[in-house]
Amino acid sequence: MSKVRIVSLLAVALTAFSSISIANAAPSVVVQGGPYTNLDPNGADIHFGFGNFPTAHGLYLYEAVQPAAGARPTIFSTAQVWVSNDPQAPASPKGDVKVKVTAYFTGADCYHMVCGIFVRLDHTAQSDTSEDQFIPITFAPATAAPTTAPMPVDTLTASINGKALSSSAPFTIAYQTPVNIDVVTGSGATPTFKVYGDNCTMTGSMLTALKGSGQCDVAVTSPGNAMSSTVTSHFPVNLIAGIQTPVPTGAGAAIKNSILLAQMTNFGEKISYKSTSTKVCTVNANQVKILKSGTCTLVAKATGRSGLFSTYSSKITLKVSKIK
Amino acid sequence: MLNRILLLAALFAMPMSLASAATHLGSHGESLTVSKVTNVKNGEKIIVSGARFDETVGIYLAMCVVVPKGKLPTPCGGGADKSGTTGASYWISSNPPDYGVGLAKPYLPGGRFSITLKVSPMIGKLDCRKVKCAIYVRADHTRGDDRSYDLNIPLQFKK
Repeated sequence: MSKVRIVSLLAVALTAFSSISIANAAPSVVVQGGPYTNLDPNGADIHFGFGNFPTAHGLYLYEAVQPAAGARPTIFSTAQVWVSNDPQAPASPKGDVKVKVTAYFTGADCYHMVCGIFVRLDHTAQSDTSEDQFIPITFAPATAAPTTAPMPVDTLTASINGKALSSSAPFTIAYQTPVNIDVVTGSGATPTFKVYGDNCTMTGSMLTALKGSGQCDVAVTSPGNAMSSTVTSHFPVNLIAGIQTPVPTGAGAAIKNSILLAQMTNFGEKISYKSTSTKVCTVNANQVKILKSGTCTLVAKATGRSGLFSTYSSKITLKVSKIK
Repeated sequence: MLNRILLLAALFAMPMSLASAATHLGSHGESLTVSKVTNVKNGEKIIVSGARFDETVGIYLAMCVVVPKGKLPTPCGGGADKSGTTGASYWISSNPPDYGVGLAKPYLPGGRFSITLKVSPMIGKLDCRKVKCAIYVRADHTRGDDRSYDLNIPLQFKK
């Protein structure tokens, strides 16, 4: 009896949520969702569930105009949904995932273009296209002369030092080298920022990497205004090793034929010095002792840390002349 | 004779605080240093510093009663100071949850921190002159069950 009930429930579920896989080297993730047709052009939610969800990565889902075969969309909505087992992801593959779609979005008219939901691996596998899928959708015929015009989605552009950020191509930042993200919203509303993934931290619009490898994801939201609705864009970030530099606290001070050099780097690593011209100068810890006039050459080194920052190594040359 | 005098001079020249400082290494490569660990007076300020901590993992720093390895250090002076008001314990995190922004002290680059802790021999009704106490760090409540970040340096109070 219970088996019969389960089978009939499954049949109902499969009717409501059709499984579509678009040919692109056979993605392994099974995306099931609906409805895909007769959607409200002013805004409709499509619900998704997943089978064979990737264990090592998440997915991005977003509305887009159908791209050329094998390519990724060039016209797409900035309202991406990030689905991941990462606890910080806004949507879990185990829950009901909703993607909001409209018949019109930046550069797109879905009555004259083929629109759909594009599915791809998230920022942790940026260039991996093995799970790319496009699921076509259609909208209900537009009703004549709507009494209220649908509110357009706000727009936003983000940049770092004048270089525009992209939702589809990650930008790169180095360990503990903060960058400011400049955002311009179409509505003029003040954006808010949130970073997903433990590897980064965000204070206001300032993004800092806490690791020198891996990824994180920055979500920028405009609340919109009376004329436009809220929008959130996600920007993937790749992290690279930081650069060590000496911290000149008290360095350069001269004490009786001696010079004090930096003791540590900006990441707290101790700098070791070795003189390669011991007739002119010797070195003890970070104190250089001048013996006579000439060229004092030192080699400075600080250990790097895997996954955070690279080794520091520098040759220092001091010209020593006799004080008259 | 001259050598002996020089040796004695060198010994006396060594700062006494250095003599009772201690550093312990953690299982992830981090190091914890306490500026003074013996004959600590009631209300004395000691400096607790760390280096090479994982900046993606927040920690609590407090004085606690020593517990067997693998057990949650408790009780601790001041408890877990999630409100940032007691001053008896510290929350160090570079990526705290939203409610922790402004309360948690971020790591310095390289996973470093330095905190001045005013210590009392009493943790509630427990007297650290009679039971063993230590300066502890442990992963914060976002990883409350993860004991791999526990690290302690015992403190001995002046009786």
